[in-house]
Amino acid sequence: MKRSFEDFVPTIQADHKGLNSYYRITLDNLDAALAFLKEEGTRLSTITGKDARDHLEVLYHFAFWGELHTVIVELPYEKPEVPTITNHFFNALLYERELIGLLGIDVLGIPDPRPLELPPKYTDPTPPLRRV
Amino acid sequence: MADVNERRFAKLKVPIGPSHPALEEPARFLFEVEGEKVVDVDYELGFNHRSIERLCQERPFSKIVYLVERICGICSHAHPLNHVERVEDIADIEVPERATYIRTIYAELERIHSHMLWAGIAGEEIGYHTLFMYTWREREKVLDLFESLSGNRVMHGCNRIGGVKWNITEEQAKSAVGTLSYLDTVADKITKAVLKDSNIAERCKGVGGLSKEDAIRLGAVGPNARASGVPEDTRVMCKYAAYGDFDLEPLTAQGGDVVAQAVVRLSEIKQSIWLTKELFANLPDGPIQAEYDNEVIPPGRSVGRVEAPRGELLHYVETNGTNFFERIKIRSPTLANIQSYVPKFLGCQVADIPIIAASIDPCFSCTDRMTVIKAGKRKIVSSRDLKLGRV
Repeated sequence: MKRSFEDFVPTIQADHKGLNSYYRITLDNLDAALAFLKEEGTRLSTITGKDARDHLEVLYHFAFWGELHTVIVELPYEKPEVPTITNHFFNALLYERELIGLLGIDVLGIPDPRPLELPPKYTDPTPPLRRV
Repeated sequence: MADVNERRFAKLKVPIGPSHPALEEPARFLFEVEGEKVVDVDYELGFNHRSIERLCQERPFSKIVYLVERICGICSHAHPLNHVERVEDIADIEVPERATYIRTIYAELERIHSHMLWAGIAGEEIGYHTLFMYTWREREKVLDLFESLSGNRVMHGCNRIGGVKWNITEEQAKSAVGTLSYLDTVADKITKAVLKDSNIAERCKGVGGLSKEDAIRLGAVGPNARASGVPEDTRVMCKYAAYGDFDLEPLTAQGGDVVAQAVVRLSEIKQSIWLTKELFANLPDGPIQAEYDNEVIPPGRSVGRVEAPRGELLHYVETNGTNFFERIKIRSPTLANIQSYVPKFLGCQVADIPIIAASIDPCFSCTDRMTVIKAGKRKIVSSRDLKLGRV
């Protein structure tokens, strides 16, 4: 990217290795981060959800030619909610549906909230990718 | 009494799939049609969900290369290649140059046979069975080549952390170059048979089009995006394995319709044959396996992409210092391409559905990656079953 992410978005921690960059931000700054990445012309590659044992994490992977920029937000176990990013990157829809089904994260404002992979009769209260 | 015209144009819902004769893949599409015209489409995935990502967290890392190779039968090299590159990035393992060349040779051979498979299926979907028989017969030559190099036609078992398992002898290289020269003439014949045929042009021109703006907005990848004029090729952008040593251009077309998809894939067959020959000609000497501490991988994370035959394949790997992975995420190219189906299908004729569905070269096993059928009954596997290894 032409501009540095840290200069425009308040970042808690930034790591750079080769073509990969990781930025840990708070949920409040997610909208500013997405607006910046959209302006820079990045493309959303995918979204990873992770159970980090004491909290949940959502990692948004953005591609800019050979570079990959990953924005990480932490979510509390008790109330895992994240706003939809389909208003900035429409192709996030399938990846957000995956977050709902496989990790039980509520995506607020998502246009289509059906879980992506799980069958409609799946009744196990623990989502498959949660550790407990 | 109802008007005849009104009845004729009433909206109907047509379900296709999972595993329908017009779409031999485990995905379900629900088309809303008005007469012969498709006016709305919805899709449902997950019929073949195998929970590979969860299984990757439940097994020691030494078994994961074997597991990710089984995500997809066609991309059986692209998945483990991306996986081992991620682990090598975390553990700072320097891979010998010869091993990177051998990995690239397998990756390009995989692209050749996958694109030939696509050309055959596309031919079959429009009723051109001769093309199907011809391309699939010639595709066997690539699979035979795989067998001569690795001992296996489909699961090559080539990638290992820090190198490759199979070396290439001079005799093997000489024989492979001979096969590639033959395949070059085959690629010319297929290209001529497809692109010079006026019947195919009339049948496929403008069918399943996708604008460049839509391709970018919907996150299309690989040949599907390149057929709409998006010049993105991970081999060129990321220069992984041995791709940094060669000058490659992303091959693009315009319009995204079935003809544009054919132009991109058929020219990529030629490009891959040229590149594989170059790789054999410049194959460096040296070891094929780096030495590293194979007991523990240090804590860290790595995310990266490779160009699988269907497009950008992303793996995210996180380690925690034990011999189990903390998290593995796999995003296959077909999942990224699913949303581009909607503009392709809207406004098309019902008879065009099979060829449009086949045109993006979908591969659903890697997209879904839990249903177990026992004695004809469908059993839903819970996360508890997975933890207890009851799958």
